[in-house]
Amino acid sequence: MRATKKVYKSFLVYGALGAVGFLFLFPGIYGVLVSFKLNREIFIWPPAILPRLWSLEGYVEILSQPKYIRFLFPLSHLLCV
Amino acid sequence: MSLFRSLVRRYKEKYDLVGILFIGPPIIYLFLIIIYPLITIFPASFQEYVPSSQSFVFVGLKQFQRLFADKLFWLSIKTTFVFAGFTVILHLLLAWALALLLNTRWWPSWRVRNLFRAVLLFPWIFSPAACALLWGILYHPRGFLSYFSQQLLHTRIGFLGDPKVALWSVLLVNGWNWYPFYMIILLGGLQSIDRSLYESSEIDGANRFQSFFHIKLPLMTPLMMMIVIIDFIGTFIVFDLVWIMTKGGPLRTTYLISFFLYEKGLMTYKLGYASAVSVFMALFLSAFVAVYLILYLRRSKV
Repeated sequence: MRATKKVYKSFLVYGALGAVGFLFLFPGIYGVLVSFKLNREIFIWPPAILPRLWSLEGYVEILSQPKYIRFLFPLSHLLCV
Repeated sequence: MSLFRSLVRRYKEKYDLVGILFIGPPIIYLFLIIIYPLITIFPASFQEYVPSSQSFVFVGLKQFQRLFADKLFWLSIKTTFVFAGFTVILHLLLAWALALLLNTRWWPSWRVRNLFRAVLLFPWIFSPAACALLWGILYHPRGFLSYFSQQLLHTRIGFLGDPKVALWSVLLVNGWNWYPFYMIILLGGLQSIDRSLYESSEIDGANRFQSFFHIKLPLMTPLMMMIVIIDFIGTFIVFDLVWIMTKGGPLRTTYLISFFLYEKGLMTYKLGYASAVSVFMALFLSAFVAVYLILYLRRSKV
């Protein structure tokens, strides 16, 4: 009886912690998932959390163009340090 | 000659030359980047910039007269006060609640607690610009939160489009982005409180609320003063986050003082006028900190 109560209580505690943590994490996770979406898929209605088609298009574009790489590793930051 | 030598020797005894050489470059850098521009705004605020001849003309206090008669300026001041004040309140509430949660003794194990602390620190890794873009996608009329509000409340809330809501949604993003910093400060303070205080209060029969109001709150007041000062100043001058999300917002409901400054200084090149705004901001924030510190010191003395 006591053991079941303990299990029940710890389940409740972990549930509450998970809910609070998820509330604070959600925007960040959603942002990471959006980064795998195609441009035209971001604002579909109704919105989906998971991308329908996992694409690396955004990453390819960022890492293949010199003008973006310059913003990723700016010389000015090195000078500031 | 011997006098000169003794002076040099005394100087060498008192100051470490190598140390001065080390801090020299940062000081020169800081002077060039921060202090020199800061000083130049004071004379510039008494002048007016003439773009045709690219020169400044002395006009006395005219810029300040014009500034205090400007309705847009007072509107931006009001908005900034609401924004900064409620952000400080939101930050303090969130930081207190989560720091107390992390400081309790009923955690199943320290691993769970450290994991949860890492989870709560997560919003801090986003730079304000990334945060604004991220929440801009969530707040978008076709975004996730609009869908959520439509399902729950059967109305689609225009988070960034409704003049009544826009300021509060932006405020929420600022709260989400920066609360971990204040949470960590408060958590460090809570963990540095001596255990014996709790034990003696337990022996005297104090309950949890009493131990909060009579031990934690008084001991944390200096930290909270510091948090309020840092947070108020930091939020008073915020630009990037709100600019990316609303650009002053629907019907100028999110029009902050930094937008006013940007518009006057860098979009229309009224450099004298913008300097007057900067001088006002600098003096106001200094006065705020001074009044706050005086009140605090007077209270703690009694």
